[in-house]
Amino acid sequence: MALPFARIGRAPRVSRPRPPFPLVAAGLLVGAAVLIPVAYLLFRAFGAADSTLDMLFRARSAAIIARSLLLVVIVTAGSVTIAVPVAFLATRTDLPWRRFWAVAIALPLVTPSYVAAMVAVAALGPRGMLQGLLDRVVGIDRLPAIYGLPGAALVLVLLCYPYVYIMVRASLRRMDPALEEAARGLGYGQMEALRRVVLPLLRPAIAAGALLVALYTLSDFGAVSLLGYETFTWAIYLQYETTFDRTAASALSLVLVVAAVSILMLESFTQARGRYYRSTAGTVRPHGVARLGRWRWVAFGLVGALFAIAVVAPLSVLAYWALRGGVQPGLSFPVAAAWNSVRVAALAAAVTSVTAFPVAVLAVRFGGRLTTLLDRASHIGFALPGIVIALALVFFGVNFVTPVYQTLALLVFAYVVLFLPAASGAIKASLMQLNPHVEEAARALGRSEWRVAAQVTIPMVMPGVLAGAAMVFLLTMKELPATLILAPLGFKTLATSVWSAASEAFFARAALPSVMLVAVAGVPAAYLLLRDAPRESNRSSQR
Amino acid sequence: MIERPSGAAAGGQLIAEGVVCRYDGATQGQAALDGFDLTVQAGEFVTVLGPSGSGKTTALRVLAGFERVQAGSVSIAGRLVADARHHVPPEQRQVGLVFQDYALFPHLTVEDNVGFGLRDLETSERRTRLAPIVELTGLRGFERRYAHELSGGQQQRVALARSLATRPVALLLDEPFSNLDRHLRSSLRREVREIVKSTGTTAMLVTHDREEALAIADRVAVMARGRIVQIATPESIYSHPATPEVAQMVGPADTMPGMIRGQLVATEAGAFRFRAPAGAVADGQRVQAVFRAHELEFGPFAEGPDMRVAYREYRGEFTQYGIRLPSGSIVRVRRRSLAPVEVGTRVTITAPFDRPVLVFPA
Repeated sequence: MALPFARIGRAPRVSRPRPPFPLVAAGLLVGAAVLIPVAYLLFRAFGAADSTLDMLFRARSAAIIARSLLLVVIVTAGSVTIAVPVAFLATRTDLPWRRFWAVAIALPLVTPSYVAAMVAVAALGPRGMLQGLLDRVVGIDRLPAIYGLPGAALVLVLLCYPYVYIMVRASLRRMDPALEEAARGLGYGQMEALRRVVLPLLRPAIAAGALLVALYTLSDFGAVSLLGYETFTWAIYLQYETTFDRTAASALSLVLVVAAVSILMLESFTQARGRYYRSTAGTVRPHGVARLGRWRWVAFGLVGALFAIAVVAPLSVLAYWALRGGVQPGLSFPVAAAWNSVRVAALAAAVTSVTAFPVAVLAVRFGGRLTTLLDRASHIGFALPGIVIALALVFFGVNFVTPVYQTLALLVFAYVVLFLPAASGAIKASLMQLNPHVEEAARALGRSEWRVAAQVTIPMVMPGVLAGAAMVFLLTMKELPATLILAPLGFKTLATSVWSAASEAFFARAALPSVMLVAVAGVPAAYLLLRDAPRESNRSSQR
Repeated sequence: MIERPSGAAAGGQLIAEGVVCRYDGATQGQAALDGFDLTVQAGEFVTVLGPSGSGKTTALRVLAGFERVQAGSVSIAGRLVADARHHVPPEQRQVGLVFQDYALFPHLTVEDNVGFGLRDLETSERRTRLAPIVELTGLRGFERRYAHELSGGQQQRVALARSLATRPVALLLDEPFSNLDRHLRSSLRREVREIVKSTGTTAMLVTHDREEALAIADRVAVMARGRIVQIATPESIYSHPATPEVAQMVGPADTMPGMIRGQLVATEAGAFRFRAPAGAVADGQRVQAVFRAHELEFGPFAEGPDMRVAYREYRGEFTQYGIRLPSGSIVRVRRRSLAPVEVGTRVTITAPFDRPVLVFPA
C-alpha cells in the first residue's frame, strides 16, 4: 500500500508518478470543502439575479466601491513608500542597530487592525489623549477628525507596511551582488546602480508586497468598522446585522470578490518578460554595506521615528488604558475570552495543518492539471475576505447543515478555508527545499517507504509544518469578522471582546483583552520572525 | 589624482605594487593580498593562476575597486587609483568586468545589457557603437532576448560584449568559463582571446584551471599566499618554473627530497638526470626534485628500491599509475594506454634522456 508522502521524489521529467489514491482522495476532499463558500455565494447571487442587479446599480453601491478602492490605493502607496527605503536601510547600509531593526520594524504585523484602530481613536480621537494633552498645554480643544478616511488610512498603512518590508528585505538579501558590481564596473555610481539595477529587480517583491497590502486593506473589517469608514466589509456587515438581507449582502460580497480577484490579476499583468532570479546557484556572497556617513544618524532617526509611531506609541497607549482599567472596579481579567481564543486558534492551527499537508505534497511532488487546480482552489481564502466566507457559511449552515450552525465546528471550518494558503505555503516551501535525493538515499540504504517518511521526510518538513501552524494560530487569534459572525452564542474571544468594547468607546474595557491578544499572538509571531531573522555576517566592510 | 606613481613600468596598463589587502575582522592571520606585485602591459592578456584561497579573486576585486588596500598602490592606465589613503570608486576606473556567473541584468534584453554602460550616448550613436560589438561576439539576432532565454555560452558572450562596449582601459575576467561544460569551455576561451585581442584590450583573467591559464594567456602569473610567485610566458613558466610549487601548479607533478651526486640527483625513487631551472646546484647539495607525471616512464624491473604499482586509472588517451615508494609516498606516472601493468607489480621509474627531472635548491 502506498503512503502519501513516502512515494515522494520530485516528478521526473519523462513520466510523472501517479499520486497514490489516498492522497488524491484527501486532496479532492479539501478542494471540494474550500469551494463550498464561493459556490454558495454564486448560487445565492444568481438565484436572485434581479434583486442582485438592482442592488448593484444603486448609487450607494458605487459610493462603497469608490471608497474601498480609494482606501486600497492610499494604503498600498503609503506602505510601499515607507517600506522600500526602510528595507534598504536595514539590509544594505551601516544603519546603527541594523539587526534590531530587521525584526523590530516588522512587529506591527502582530497587531490586529481593530486594536490599532481602537488605539488611534483613544489617542487621537475627539476627546482622546492627544487632545487632552494639547488642551492642557496650549488650549487646543479640537483636533482634525480621526474618523473616516484619514484615520482608516493612517491605521492601515502603519499595519500593512511590514508586508512590503518583509518581501523587499528578502529580495534584497537574495540579490546577486555581482549585478550591482557589474553596474559599478560599467561606470554607474552607487545611487545610480541602485536606481537602474536594484530597484527594477525589486519590482516583483514590491508588487507581491503591494498585492498583500491591497488584499488586506480590501478585506479589513476591524479598522474601517471602528473608524466608521464605510467600505465593502463594513457595508456588508451592516446589511447583515441590521436587515439580515441575504441578497443584498451576497450581492455586495460578490462585488468584493470581483474586486479582490481583479487585484490578483492586476499583479500578474505587472510581471515583465524579464526574469528575476539569482544567476548563481549555491551560496550568496554577502552584500557590500553602503556607508551612510553623516546621514547615518539621520537615517537612524527616521527609522526610530517609524518604530516609535508604529510600535512604541500604540503599546504605550494600550498599557495606559490597561492600567487605568486595572484600577477600575468591575473590570475583571477576560480569562474566559482568552481561553476561548487560545483554544480555537490551536484547534484551527492543528486542523489547517493536517488539511494543508496533502495539498502541499500533491502540489510539490506530483505536478499535473488536477493538482494545479487543487492548489489554486486552496488559495481561495487568500482572495476572499473573511466576512464573505463567514456570511456564505452562515447562510449555508442555516439552510443545509443546521446541526453545525452555531457550533465551533463551523467556525473552525471558516478558519481552515481562510488560512489554508498560509499553512500549505509554509509546508510547500519546506518540501521544495527537501532534495528528493535525500529520500532516495534513505531508500537505497534499505529503509522502507514508511520508515523513510517517519525518519527522513517528516522530520525535515516539520519546521515548515510548525511555521505554517504558527502562522494560522496568529491569524486566527487576530481574526475578527468571521469570529463575530460565526461564533456560537455567548462564545466570546479576545478579538470579539476588544471589538465590542471599542465600538462603544469603552477603551479601558478594550485595553486589557487587547494587551493579552498582542501578548499571546506575539509568541508565534516571534517564532516566525526569529526563524528567518537575518544571520548577518560580522563583516562590516565592502565584501 | 592623476599622478604617475614612482617606479611604474612605462606602458604598464595595470600596475599593482606591494598591495596589502586584509578583510575587516581578519586582523590576525594571513592577509588576502600580502605584497602583491603585478604589471600588465597595454594590450597584453595575462592570466593569474592560483589555488582557491591564494588571493587571486581578491586581486581582481582590488584592481576593480571593490576592495580597499591597506598598503601599496594600484594604478590603471597611468593613473593612481588606490593606495592606503586614496580609493577611486569602481565606476570611475573604466575597467570592464566579466563574472563567473555572468551577472547579466535579468530585467533587460541582450541589447540593453550590452548597451548598459553607454548611457551617455544618444540612441543612434549607441546603435552604431553596439552593432560591431554585437557582431564580434556573435550575438546578432539575439538582441531582443532576455538573459534566461540564452545558453550559458551565449550569456557569457553577452557579459563580454557588455564590458567591451564601453571600451574599457582593461578587462578583468573572474573565472569566466567555470560554469560552462568542458567542450564549450575550450572553444569559448579561444573565441574570447580572439575577441579581446582584436579589440586591443588589456586583459587579466583569474582562474584555478591550469589548462585554461596556459592556453589563453600571453603571460601566466602563478599566485600563492597573497602574492605572485612567478610571471612568464606559458612556455617559459612551464619549462622554467621558479619553485616546486609553480611546477606543480602548471602540470601534474610530485616532489620529493633528493641530493645532487655528480650528474645525477639521488632520490628515494632512484637516481635521475636533472635540470635546475631556478639556478645552478652544486654537487652534494640537498634539493627538491619534481617528477612530472607525463615525463616519467617505468618498467617492470625487479631491481633497486622496492616500488610497486599502487593504483591504475585508465583515462583513454593515457593511463595514470600511482607508484608507491618504499617510504609510502606515491609518484604519479602517465603512460600511453598500451599493455596495462597490474597493481602490485614491482617496477623501476626512469626519466627519458630528453626529459630530465627538475631540481630546486632545498
